[in-house]
Amino acid sequence: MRVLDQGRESTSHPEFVDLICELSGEDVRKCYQCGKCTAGCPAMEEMDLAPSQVMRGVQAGLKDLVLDSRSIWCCAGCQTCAARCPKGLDLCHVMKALTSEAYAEGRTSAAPDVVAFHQSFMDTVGVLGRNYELGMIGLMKLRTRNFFQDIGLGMKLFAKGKINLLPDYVKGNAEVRRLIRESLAKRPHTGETPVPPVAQGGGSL
Amino acid sequence: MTIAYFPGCSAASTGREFAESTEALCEALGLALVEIPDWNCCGATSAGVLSPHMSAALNSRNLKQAAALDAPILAPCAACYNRLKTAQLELREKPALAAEYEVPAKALNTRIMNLPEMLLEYPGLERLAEMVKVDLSYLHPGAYYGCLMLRPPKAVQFDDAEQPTSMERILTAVGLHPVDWCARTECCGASLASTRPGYVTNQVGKIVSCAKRSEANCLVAACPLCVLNLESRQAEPEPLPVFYLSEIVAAAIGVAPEKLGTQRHLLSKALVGAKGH
Repeated sequence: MRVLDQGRESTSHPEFVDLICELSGEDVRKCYQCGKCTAGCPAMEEMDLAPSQVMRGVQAGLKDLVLDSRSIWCCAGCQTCAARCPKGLDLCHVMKALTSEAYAEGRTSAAPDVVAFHQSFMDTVGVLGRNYELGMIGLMKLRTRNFFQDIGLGMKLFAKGKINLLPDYVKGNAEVRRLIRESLAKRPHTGETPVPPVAQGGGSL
Repeated sequence: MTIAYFPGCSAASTGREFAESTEALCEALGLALVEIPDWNCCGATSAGVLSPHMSAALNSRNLKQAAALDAPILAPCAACYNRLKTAQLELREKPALAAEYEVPAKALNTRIMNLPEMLLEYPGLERLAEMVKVDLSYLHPGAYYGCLMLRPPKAVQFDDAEQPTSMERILTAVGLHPVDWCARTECCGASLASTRPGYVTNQVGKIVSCAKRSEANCLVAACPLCVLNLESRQAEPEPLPVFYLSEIVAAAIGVAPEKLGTQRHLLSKALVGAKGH
């Protein structure tokens, strides 16, 4: 089905609605477009689609529009929308279902730096069982090639004893790594062989 | 009273003074903190962004590790607190998932507390007020709750998501004069701090100017991500100092400031007796 939305033509994928409902645990169909989520969203200025438009896009099965949007990556996860939705929907669950689906399909070009941050965070957790900020920032800089951002802040934090040179690690780090890998490999609707996630920018997850 | 302690990853780095002050405060209150053995990262925002299953998976291990201690859990970091509680709720609602991760029933019902939640009960407001030794009445803080301690209300079930009062009640009990202000539950944007710094600087600027308009002379928070962000992204010529709730309460009941890690702040080193706050 072809859908014309504000002059943009998109293809509707009706099965996409079910997929996102299942991944998020939220019945996206219940959204009646009151716009309360959009009104209270603190991250709107970084978004290309308003949160209520993301919800409408999912309802209409506009997979490409939604998965390739910047909005899903720029959600700050503050849950203001989730606290205020009159239909009791947790939009953060929906946003995270969308980012994880976009990530699994390798659609990350809308915000590669945000993806690099989350990958780098989970890489250090995968190795050590805990987050190691110095390692995370190093990995992120390698991925984004943005070597100089926040160097001054890093020096200040170091001077205050707030940057650990040596990482803490968990004895059960192999178990933590297994939990991370299995979570990434879990796909909905299947008992089939898991599809490995598409690694980006030197991703090692 | 024994409390199962989940320090969180930031306790060893950017949130060090939060951990130091929380530990010193609990010692002064006679609460025995026992660190949860071999706890792992809660996954913060990143786990959920990459997979809808990852946060529950990581925290099922934490809940199992904590179950051995058979005590209520204190997770001072608001992100850890939120992820632990959210995962616990999800595992309670999905028995098949709890069985898959072999989470014992006890772990599904263990109480998980944030710092203000603990203080309201252990030792409670009356006892806190009796313990005050140092006059901090010159501090007129804006109590800053941020997001993760309050939302989503369905999972955290703590205070009122829009009009919380717990931190103001605690601060008043220990002799401070918290101000009424409008950005107490606004998001500071911490999860985008290293990827969208310009946006986050704006967001922090809005919060700080709200507090200043209400004549706050400092901010008090109970989240290491909020405090790092509010301190490091303030671009104002006269920045507002930001303190941890644990530092303030401990200082008020007479714990020496050097035990609280207060010297590690980026904006204001001095807490007790400082002039011109």
